[in-house]
Amino acid sequence: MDRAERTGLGIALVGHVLLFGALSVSLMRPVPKLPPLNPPIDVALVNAKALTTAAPDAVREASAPPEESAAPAAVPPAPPTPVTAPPPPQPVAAPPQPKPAPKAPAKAVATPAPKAAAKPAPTPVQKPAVTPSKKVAAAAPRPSRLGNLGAQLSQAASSESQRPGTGRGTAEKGSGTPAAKTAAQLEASFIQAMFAKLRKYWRAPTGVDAELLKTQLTVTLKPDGSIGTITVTSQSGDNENNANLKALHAERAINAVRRAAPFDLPPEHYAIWQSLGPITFDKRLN
Amino acid sequence: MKMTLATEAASLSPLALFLQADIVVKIVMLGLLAASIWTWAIIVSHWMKMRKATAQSAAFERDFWKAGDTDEFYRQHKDSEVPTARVFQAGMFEWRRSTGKPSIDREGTRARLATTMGAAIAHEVDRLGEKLNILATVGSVAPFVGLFGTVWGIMRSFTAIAAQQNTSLAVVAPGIAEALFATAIGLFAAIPAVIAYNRFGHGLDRIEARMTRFADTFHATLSRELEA
Repeated sequence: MDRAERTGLGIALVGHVLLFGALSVSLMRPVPKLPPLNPPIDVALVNAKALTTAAPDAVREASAPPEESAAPAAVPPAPPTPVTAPPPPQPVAAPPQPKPAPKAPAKAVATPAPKAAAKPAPTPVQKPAVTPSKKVAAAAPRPSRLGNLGAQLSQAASSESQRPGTGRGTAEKGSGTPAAKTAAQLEASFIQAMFAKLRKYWRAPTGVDAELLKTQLTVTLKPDGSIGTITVTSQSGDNENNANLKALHAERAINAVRRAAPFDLPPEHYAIWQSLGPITFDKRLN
Repeated sequence: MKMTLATEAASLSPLALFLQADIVVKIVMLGLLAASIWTWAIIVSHWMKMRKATAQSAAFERDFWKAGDTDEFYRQHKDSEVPTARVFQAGMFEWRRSTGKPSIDREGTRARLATTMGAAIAHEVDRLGEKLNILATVGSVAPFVGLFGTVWGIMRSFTAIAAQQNTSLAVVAPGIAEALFATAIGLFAAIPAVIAYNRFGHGLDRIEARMTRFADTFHATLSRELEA
């Protein structure tokens, strides 16, 4: 071992000792824990589906009376009956202020009846109105303590109940709008659900200009999903070439609905799908 | 099997990592550390030797071409340790022996001069580069040795998982850290070794070329003398 090798070994030893010493000293210190930049936030995941959270309240209450008056449902303008249900808002409003309830329905019964009488279909309107009033009447004795408050609120309630009473058109525009809108959405979704099933059975007739034909059906359904009545509402797209196919087109549309029945629709929304339509059958069915 | 895994202080200190390690991993680490020290000792000493050899050879050549009388110059540098001087000594020694006889075989003398000086060059290159093979060995083997330590340590970590029925990172992490430390040391030793081996190999080639150049020129000079 000559001088150069001794020097080299010495330098290497010292270098390694220094390096490992430095690493040990500087890295031995525990890494300081950084505080979290933001305080943690509790998060709850909520199933925010409009269909199941917002709509059902209004719709279920709207659908409750017609179930009792299911018999007159055969009349075509029956579907709007749930919309005319002005009582629902009052039961909803009732819990916080129990008193107004008794008086308000009383007026609700009084006001809609005469005005609705002028309308072509008074019976469905009256029946739903009467039934809630019975319920409320039973509940009336208890909350009677708030007499003066009830007087004020009954005014508001009566003005509210008057609006639906004036007619279905205003009801849809007025306070009933969200519910009516949801009902329309629901109906559209039910029709879509029906289409899914109908596509399997729908076979459009073929022929000259057959693809132009459109048949619109209105279908009433029973609570178990089977067919009540099927009515051809209108047909369009016919010309001299496909005139002979018109009848076949309608027949096949009716057949498709009959064969696709029963439909599996949510029973709690029967008021909406009790009568569905117009369902438009064209070549592609969508 | 007793497992002492420091889960509380996941420190990166080399000393702590070494002390935590398994005996096999410890041996691997110590071996690699020794290899690293040895590598650096060779690097430093070789670098010093090469620098000295290059400078002295350049000075010797300069002196040689300036010197008038070759015999006088040979007397002065008879015991020189400089590589180029060794080549010169070998050439002069052969020259004296070949020309000392009454009848001179010119062709044979030329061939012998070339052979002896070539042998001297080869000897000097061998002497200068005797430690370089260690660098090459460390450079190619140290990573594998480190890897062996790592594999061993990770195997041990997995047995720790099995023993504690617990797959949390806190159980596995210290073992894996200490295991990886073995590879780190292996690379720490191997990288300088490989770099130094390549650099010194190149430096050795240059010194050899320089000595060959000198030997050729000296051979030409002696060859001219033979014809005179």
